[in-house]
Amino acid sequence: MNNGRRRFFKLFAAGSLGAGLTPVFPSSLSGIAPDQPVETNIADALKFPRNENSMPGKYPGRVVRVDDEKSISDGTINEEAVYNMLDGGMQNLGDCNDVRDAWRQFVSPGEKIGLKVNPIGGKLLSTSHALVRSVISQLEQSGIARDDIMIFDRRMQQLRETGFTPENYPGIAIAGTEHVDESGSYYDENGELYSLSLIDRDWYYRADCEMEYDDYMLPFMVNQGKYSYFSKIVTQQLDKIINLPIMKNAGASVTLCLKNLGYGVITNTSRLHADLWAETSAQVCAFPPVRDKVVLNIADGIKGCYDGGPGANPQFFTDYKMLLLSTDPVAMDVVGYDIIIGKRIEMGRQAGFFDVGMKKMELAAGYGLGVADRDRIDLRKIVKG
Amino acid sequence: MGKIYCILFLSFSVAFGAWGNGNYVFGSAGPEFCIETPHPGIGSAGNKKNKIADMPVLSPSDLPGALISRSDVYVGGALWGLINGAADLYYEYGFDRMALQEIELEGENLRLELYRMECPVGAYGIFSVSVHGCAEGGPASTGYCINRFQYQLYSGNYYLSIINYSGSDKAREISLLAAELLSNRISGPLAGLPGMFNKQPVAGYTDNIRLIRGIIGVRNVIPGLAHLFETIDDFEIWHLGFEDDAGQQEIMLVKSRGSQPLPEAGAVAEGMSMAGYAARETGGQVVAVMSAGFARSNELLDSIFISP
Repeated sequence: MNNGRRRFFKLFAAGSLGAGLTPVFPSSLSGIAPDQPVETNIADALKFPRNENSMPGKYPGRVVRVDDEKSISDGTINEEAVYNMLDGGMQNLGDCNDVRDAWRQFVSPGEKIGLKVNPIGGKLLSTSHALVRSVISQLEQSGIARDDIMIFDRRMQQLRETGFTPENYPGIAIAGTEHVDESGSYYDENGELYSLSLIDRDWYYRADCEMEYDDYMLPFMVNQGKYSYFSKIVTQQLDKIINLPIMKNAGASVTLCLKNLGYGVITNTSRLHADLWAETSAQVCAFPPVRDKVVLNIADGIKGCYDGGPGANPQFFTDYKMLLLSTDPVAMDVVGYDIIIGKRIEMGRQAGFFDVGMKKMELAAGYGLGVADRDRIDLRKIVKG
Repeated sequence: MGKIYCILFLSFSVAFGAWGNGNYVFGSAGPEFCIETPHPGIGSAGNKKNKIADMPVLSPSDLPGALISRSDVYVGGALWGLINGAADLYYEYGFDRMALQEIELEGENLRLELYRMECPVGAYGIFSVSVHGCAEGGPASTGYCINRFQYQLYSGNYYLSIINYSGSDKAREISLLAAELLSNRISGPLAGLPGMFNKQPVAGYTDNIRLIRGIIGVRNVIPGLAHLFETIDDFEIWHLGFEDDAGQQEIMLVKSRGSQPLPEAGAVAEGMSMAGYAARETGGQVVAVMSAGFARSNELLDSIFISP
C-alpha cells in the first residue's frame, strides 16, 4: 500500500518549500516539521493568537497519576474505585480540597462540554463506562447541567457498539461525525453522506498527500483530497472538551491524548497514517478548535494494552490500574509513553526506548502545546485503595 | 482500496514472480509462488449478502442454541471503518476481506474475525505479528496459538482470531469448537518459511519468526530500524530472535519486493544495537545476524546463509 500511497505524495526539499510554496511565512513558521515528508498548513494554525484556555492549559507540565490496585479485578472494573481515583486526582491536579472546585477551574455552568472518548477497541478496550460515568457525575456535582454534556467521537457506529447510547446515558447528547442512522446507513434519503453536513469547511488540516477511497471506505473518511475537515462538533457545538483517551500503544509509540484528538476530530485520515502519523497527531491539536477547547485530559489506564494497539488483542491487554490527569496533553503523553513502552520492554515486545516513539510529543511541544522535557514534568503520584 | 491498490498490485505481481526461484521453501502442498492481484471487489460497492456468501462463516446450525448477533463482511477499504488505522497493517499483508461474527452461546460471548489474505504468506505474516505468549500451540510449528481470551490460527489464505469476553473455561471450550468448525472450511496450503530458517542451529526456534511488511510493521516490531526503511516502499523482513548458550541473537532476512535498493547490510545490523554483527547482501536481499560477538555472528551467518 505504501507504494501506491506514496505515488500521491509530492516530496519537497526544504529549500524549495521555503522559496516557492510558503513565501508569506517566516522560515520559523514554514509548514514543515523537521524530517516531515510533505507540506502541511501548520503555519496557518500557529498564526492564531492563543487565549487563556489554550494548551497546555492551567498547569503546564503537571501530570497526576492515581493508582489503585482494587480498580479492576479479573477483568471487572470497580466503578466506585474509579470514581474515588478521579476525585483524588482532580483535587491534586487543581491544588484544592473540594472536587467541585477542581472541576470548576476548567468548566463553567452554561458551557457545552464534550467528552472525547475512544471506542475504537470495541467493547473490549474502549474508554470505560466507569470513568465516563464518574466524570459526568462529578461534572453534575460541579454545577454542569446534564443536557450541556455530550459524548462524542468520529464514529457513531462504534459509540453505539461500545454502549455509548441514549439508553445508557439518558439526557446526555451522543454524537459522531461519521453519522450512521438507525438502519445502519451512512447516507441520507438524497444519497448524501450524513457526515458531509457535520464537517466544517472553514476549518481544515491540509497536507500535501492524498489517497483515493473506494465506496466501502468513503463513509469512514467522509472526503478525499488534500484536506481534512474538522468536525462541527468541535468547531461549533462545544465550548470545552475533556479528552478521555485510553492507555494503548501504537507500535513503539502511544495513542493517548494527542492521537485521540488529532485523528478523532478530522476527516480523511487514512492518507495521514503511514507517513504523517506523528505530524498529524501534533499539528491537528495546534488548531484553535482543539488547542483552545481541550481543557483537561484524563487517560483511562484501568485496563489498557502494550501491543496490538490501537486495536484490541486480549493477549496484549494489561491492567495498568491507574488514571492519568493533566491539562497538558504533551506531558501526559510523555508520562504514558514511559509507562506503556516500559511495559512493552518488560514483556519482550520491544528492545528499548526509541526516539521515533517520542516524535509527536516533541513536535507538539515545539508548537507550544505542552511540555515534552521530562526534567520539566511535575509528575505527582497518588496511591488509592 | 481504490486506485492506489491497482498501481500497487501490479508491482507486487512483478516482484512476486521471482520468489519461486529464490530460497523460499513452501510446504509440500503449497504453491511455488502466490501472486497478489487487484481485489475484484475494490472500487465497487458490492453487495454485502453476496460478499458474506464468499466467506466461510458459522451459521446457527453449527452451534445449536447460539445467537449470532452480527455477521458482516468487510471488503477493501471497509476494514478502515472497523479498526481505523490498525487496518493499515492488514493491507500491508495483502488484505482481501474479513468476516466478523459476534456469537452468544450459553451465556458466553465470542467475537470471530476471519481474515482472508491474498496469499498464504500474508496470512502467516499477520498471524506471526499478532500472537504472543501462547499458552498452547506455537505460531510456526502448529499454526495456532491459544490464550485465555483468544484463539488464533492461520491456514491457507486465512487468519482467524476468536476472542472470548470472559476468559472462562466454558468460553474457551466454545472458542475451540468454533475454531474447529471454521478450520475445516479454511484449509489450504501453508506458507513455508525461508529456507535458512530450516537450517541448524536456528531450526528449533521457528516459533519466534515474525514476518514484517511495510514501515508500520517495522515501527511496531523493530522500531530501532524504522529510520532505514521510511523511504522504501516494498520490502519484507523475516525476523527471528532467540536465545541459546551463546546468548541473545537476532537474524533478519530483508527482501526487496520492488525496485528500490535496500538499506546496506551493515546499517541494518548496526540498527539492532548489538555488540557484533555479520551481514551479507546479495540478490535483492540482505541477511543480517546480530549477537554478542562478531565471531559468533559470522559463524551463525555461515551456517544459515543460502545464496538466492
